[in-house]
Amino acid sequence: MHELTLAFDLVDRVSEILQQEGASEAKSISITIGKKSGVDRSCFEFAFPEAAKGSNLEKAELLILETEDHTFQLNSLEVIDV
Amino acid sequence: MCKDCGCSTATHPLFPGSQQKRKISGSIKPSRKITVEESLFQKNQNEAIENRKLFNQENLKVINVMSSPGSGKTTLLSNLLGEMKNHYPLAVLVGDQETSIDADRYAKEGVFAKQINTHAACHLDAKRIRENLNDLPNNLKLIVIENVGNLVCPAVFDLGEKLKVALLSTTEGEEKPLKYPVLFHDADIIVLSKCDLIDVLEYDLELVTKNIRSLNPSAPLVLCSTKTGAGISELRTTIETALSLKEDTDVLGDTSNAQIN
Repeated sequence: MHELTLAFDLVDRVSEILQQEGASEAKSISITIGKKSGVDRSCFEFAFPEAAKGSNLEKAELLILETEDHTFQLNSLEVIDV
Repeated sequence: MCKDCGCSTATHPLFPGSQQKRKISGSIKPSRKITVEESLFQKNQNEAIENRKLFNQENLKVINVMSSPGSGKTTLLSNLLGEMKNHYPLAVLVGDQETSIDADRYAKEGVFAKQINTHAACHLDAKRIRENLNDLPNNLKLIVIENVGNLVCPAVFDLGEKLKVALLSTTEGEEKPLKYPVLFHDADIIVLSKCDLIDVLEYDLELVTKNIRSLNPSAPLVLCSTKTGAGISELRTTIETALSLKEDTDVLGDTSNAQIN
């Protein structure tokens, strides 16, 4: 279940971006999970809310695009300003 | 058209919810989009880049050996490294959720090994490797990382190694590469272990080779058996060639009968 580690990494990275951008919270997070990335979509969907608990991503909707390749990428964020 | 209920009146001041609704919609905080487009492996990747820099500075070759539990990683490596340690200084970092059983097995072969217990985690990551470099012996030439036994998770985490070695044992069947493709696709060297059991298991060598080659057409495939000793020296040569490892004269010391290539 390495998806939990990766979900925590996503939460850390998005929190950093929110701080840099002066935004208060994330409304949605768009990511891509490739079928050959070694990341399982349903495991990640399960892990993300746990990792996001208590952070300013807690209410964010996770939008997942799927590809056939190795991609595992943070595409974009929809943020709410302070 | 009225905004509140869709009637034909341009404005509809008497609609009961209209004032309140406008008030609420006015208080919704505006959102904006930020395009990021960066790899989500980046955090581990940054740590792996740091490791790679450090390894280059120290002229240290590092390999990451991955397989399922019970495939014979420790048996094969302690056998192989027990011999290789006579030619250059090396150490093993061995990952398991719990116990120091594997490190103790290496110690019996005279191989310096440090056990990393990952507890809940199913893999080693680059940061954990760097945290465990401090108390290794000085002047090492080679570090062998024996990852946590798992065909899935370790394949995803770059540790800063130069070579990824995937090990598959005959007892696991011929189809494992297809079921767990990431590890076999990314491997630089693929080892088939427990080859002394090929006849007993009626193991289909042709099929496993086909399965491996469908994912990874070019990585050297080495057939080994620690029982018979077959393939062990070929594996050593394959690793040394891939790493450009040279005999270290300093390590020879009292082992004066060792051959210098």
